[in-house]
Amino acid sequence: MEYRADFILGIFSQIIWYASNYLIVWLLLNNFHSISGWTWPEMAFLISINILTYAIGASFTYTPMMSMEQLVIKGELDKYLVKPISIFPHLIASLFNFGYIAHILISGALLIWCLEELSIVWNSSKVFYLILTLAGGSMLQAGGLILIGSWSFYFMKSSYLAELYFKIKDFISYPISVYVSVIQVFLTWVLPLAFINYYPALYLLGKDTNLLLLFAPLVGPLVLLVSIFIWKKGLNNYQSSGS
Amino acid sequence: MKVYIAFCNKSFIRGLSYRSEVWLRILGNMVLIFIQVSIWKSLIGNSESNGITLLNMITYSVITTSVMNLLMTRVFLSIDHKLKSGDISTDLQKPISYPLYLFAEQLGVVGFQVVFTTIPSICISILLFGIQYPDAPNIVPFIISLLLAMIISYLLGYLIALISFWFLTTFALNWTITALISIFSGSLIPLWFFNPFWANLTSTLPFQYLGFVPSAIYLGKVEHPYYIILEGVGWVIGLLLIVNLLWWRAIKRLVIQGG
Repeated sequence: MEYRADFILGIFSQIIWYASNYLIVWLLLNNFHSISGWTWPEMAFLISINILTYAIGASFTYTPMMSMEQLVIKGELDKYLVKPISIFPHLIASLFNFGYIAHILISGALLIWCLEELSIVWNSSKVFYLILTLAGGSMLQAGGLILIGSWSFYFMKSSYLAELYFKIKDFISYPISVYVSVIQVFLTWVLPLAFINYYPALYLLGKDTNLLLLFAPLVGPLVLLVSIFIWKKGLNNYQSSGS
Repeated sequence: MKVYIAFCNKSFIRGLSYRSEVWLRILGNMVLIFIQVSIWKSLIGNSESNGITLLNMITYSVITTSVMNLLMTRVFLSIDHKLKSGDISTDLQKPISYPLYLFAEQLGVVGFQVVFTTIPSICISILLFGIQYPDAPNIVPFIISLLLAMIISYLLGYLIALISFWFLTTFALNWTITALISIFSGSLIPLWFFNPFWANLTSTLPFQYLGFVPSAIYLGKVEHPYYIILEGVGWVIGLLLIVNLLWWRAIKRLVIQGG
């Protein structure tokens, strides 16, 4: 918070960036009306869930996991290891990032807008499901970043992998039904990013009535647990670079 | 001239030290192309929209994604780094033109990208989706438009770097320029699918030269390619003037700060 003007300009510019993401889809749907049966408010819902859960998940894990590479290469992780407290929560807490206000503002606003626009019949179980979706999605997003961080333990360099991961995450900016089935299987079973927004949206928007969809928000916590497990495994593998 | 070629070579060779990441880069490029192709498949399918076929759009996506690899907007990161580390003061003492030196350096970076990312991605795309080949009269204007894309993106990046002499940070400018390019370059959606208001706005901005113009010329969808190229040259001259003006002011500022 030392550079207040910078901070505000930064938030402002990030809002422009995310607004441009929405605008592109809006422009597309202005001409084509729907993508694979998804209209503009439905697409806005899909995108907003993705950005909002990312903002929550990344507040906790982005900075510690993206700095893993440097912590490992420079051996600075040792500083965290020698303290008599559990390392994972310590890392998360000391590197918490408050910089996601822009993400939350714009995706929150658009989410509220499209929830009004879409004629969803709300009942207590649907509200509960939406809350679970946001919580589960945030955990999944956090877990994805933890997996990238774990990579550093084995191969040191992870920044290019992170770049690739963010590109792959672009897949879920659109309903995965537009992709060939191999990609759909990949996004469901291998890297289950589709559980962040696509599957919960199918249920909430009434596009599919399969009862299995009720369990979609549970994938998030599962991925988070697995990723923390892999991270801790990686930590055991860690030997200080000594420099 | 020789010295600039040397700088260009040096930055190309520096790229080689990251060759293990080449596969990840190609994969990243392919993901981008693949997403666009899937969306156009779902939107256009086997019919056509406003006289645009699916093959047109696949080709369009492959070209804009490749043109993205040519862009030099990131030059400001290099200046930003030098500004923070103070290396800029030794750079400025060298008896060379600083903007040309940076251009040569970026050219090396782009050259590496083209050889190790763009060309392989285009080959894979041809195998996977098949792309359209240009009509002979469009080849020359297409190549000129690629050069324009490089020069205009360089000048925009340089402009950001100069503005950052005052702001001392590029964070906000970086996000803003990325956003502007992603909409107004037309690299994801071509201008002919924009609604009239946004299409008009876009055609008054220089960003269309960073994606839409080269691809549209390639596809032969521009009626008078040389006219639009001439307009692009106008943008280059305009940007050069602004950049020069700011450069002299920025240099003065730098001297005062270094006092």
